[in-house]
Amino acid sequence: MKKRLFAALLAGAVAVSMVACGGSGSGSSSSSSAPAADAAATGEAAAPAEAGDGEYKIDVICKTLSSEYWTYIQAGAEAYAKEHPGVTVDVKGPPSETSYDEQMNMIQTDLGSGAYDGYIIAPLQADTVKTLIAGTDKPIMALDSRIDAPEVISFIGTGNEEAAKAGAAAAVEAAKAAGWKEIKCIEIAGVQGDGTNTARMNGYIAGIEENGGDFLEDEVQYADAVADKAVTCMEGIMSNHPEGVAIICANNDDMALAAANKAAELGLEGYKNTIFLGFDGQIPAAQAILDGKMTMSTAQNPYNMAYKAVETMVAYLNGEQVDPVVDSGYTIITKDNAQEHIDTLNSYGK
Amino acid sequence: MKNSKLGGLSSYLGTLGALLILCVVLTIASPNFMTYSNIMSVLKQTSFTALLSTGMLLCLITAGIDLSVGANATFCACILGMLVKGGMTNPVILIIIALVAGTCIGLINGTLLTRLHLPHPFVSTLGMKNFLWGAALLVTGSQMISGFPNGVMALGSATIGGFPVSFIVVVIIYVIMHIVLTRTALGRSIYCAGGNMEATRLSGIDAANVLTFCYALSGFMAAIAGLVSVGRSGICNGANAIQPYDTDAIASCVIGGASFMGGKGTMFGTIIGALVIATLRNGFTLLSVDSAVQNMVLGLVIIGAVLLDVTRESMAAKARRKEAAAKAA
Repeated sequence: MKKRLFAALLAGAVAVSMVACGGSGSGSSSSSSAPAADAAATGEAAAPAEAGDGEYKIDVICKTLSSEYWTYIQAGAEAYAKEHPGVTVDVKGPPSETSYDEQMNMIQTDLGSGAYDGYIIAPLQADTVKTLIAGTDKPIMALDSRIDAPEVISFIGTGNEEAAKAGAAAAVEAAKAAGWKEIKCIEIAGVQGDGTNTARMNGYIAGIEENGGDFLEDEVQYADAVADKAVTCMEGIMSNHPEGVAIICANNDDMALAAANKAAELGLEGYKNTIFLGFDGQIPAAQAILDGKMTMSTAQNPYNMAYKAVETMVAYLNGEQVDPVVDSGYTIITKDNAQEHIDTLNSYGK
Repeated sequence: MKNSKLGGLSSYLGTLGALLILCVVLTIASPNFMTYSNIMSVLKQTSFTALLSTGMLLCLITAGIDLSVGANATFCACILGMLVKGGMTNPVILIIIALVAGTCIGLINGTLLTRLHLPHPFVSTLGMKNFLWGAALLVTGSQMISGFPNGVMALGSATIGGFPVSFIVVVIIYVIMHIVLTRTALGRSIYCAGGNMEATRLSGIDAANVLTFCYALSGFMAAIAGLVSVGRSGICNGANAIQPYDTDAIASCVIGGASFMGGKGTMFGTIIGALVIATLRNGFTLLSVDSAVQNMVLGLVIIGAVLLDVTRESMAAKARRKEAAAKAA
């Protein structure tokens, strides 16, 4: 009996000590070199707060931390805190961008704890966050995706829809340049029912249609945002359209690259000049664009986005006026600027 | 008889101890852990998993499994979403429809197993999970739906002096199920079905009905969980159906002492298991632990709990052998 109890206690202690180690680990892992120059230069939304003006603890809840995009978000937010000694940020996020429940729990826990002066939330499900934050008296700002609620003071980000629309417009131009007469576009989409997915799709539809292309809405393929399913979708597209499709746009880079690789592997004549448009513009994708494996990608600027979000929050906490929308911009990555983009991302020192 | 009861107690003493240690350590590590509002957060977060675990436990006791619980909960929420979008606002009718839908799906799971003789419920409920995922997206047109009437939301959102109503419901259900499992013929039949199917049949228990009951109840609990989720989040979303709710429910049961071999597991152990998972997640958030580390720790806790269970089992077997040897000598 004693032995059993001891074993149980030990198991508990192991779990608990791992928690403690993890906590201290992430606390000390704030990033090193931080090029704030570009962020500060474009930061017209609010004057930078004087350091030491007030001690603020800011909570940044991401959509996840397990993807490259969100590590830049983390780097941007932590860079601001590093430069401003009075400000501390806690950056956290659920295991994946479909962990709706876990993000909900995180938000609930942190709002309930009262440990923070302000909350910056990148909502997986904006309407859920709206329910959770109803009646909160602490300032809340939306990051990356909008939250339509009276408690939200500002939105910092680029709409997925706007960025996707710009990417699609650029893709149509590229398709025309490549000699396509009839510009058909098929999308390989992410998780059906997911908010980001819907926003990007709407952007693609608008961008293609407004520029004289034809977005085949009935033929959208859902690949759950993963590469191997995108390959299956691409195979299906090629069977249905042996004559070729001008633009294949995907909800993220992984899927666009996977589809492009599959088309190259089979070497169908109709797909030699197809424009493969991705989203996110992460290093592997930019490298693939540089190598000619993929055509282009729309990159949001996560580092700036997070930096500006913390900056805006501090300005608000200092009693300054802040804009309801702070645009962090986007870049269309093509062969011309891919190298420059890679260098910028690498300079974030993650 | 007395001995086996003591054994039951010791089986969750370990888990209870782990939960208490966890709480003590978190209290020391974070000043915000042991506050009223945070503990209430933990309870709110426990409710959903605890409800799914109720049905899961029954299935596990019968040596089965129900992988469709999470998708079923999401599906029920989405059915509500569809009706609300279509203009129905009477909360009583909405709730009844959700409960009936969930129970029917559970009933189908049970029928597939017992009347149509599909092999292990792993297969049929996995199929059902995929079916419900698609169906949930279909009925909502792949959109998130909000704007549920307050009467429907109340179960998941209402509190009494800060104490979540959903957890009160959980406590009531757990007490009732505890009584059913330990004090009634039905409960004994459920344990019996998990122990030895042939012996169950020979002792005159209608195993098919007992199993069907377990899966139907699992569906019913999933429907309640779906109502709680609608109340908590204010929305329904078909994409939620692929969330690992089922594994969380299984983990709660297993941490609480249930076994895949069947015949084991208690309501008390299961609620502790659900609380351990919710408390760990809550603590991780308060301490801003990396989500990668969170997943690893949760995995280790599950493995550790099963390891503990196996060790306990083999020690008990050894003790029995010794006793038998001593008697023989």
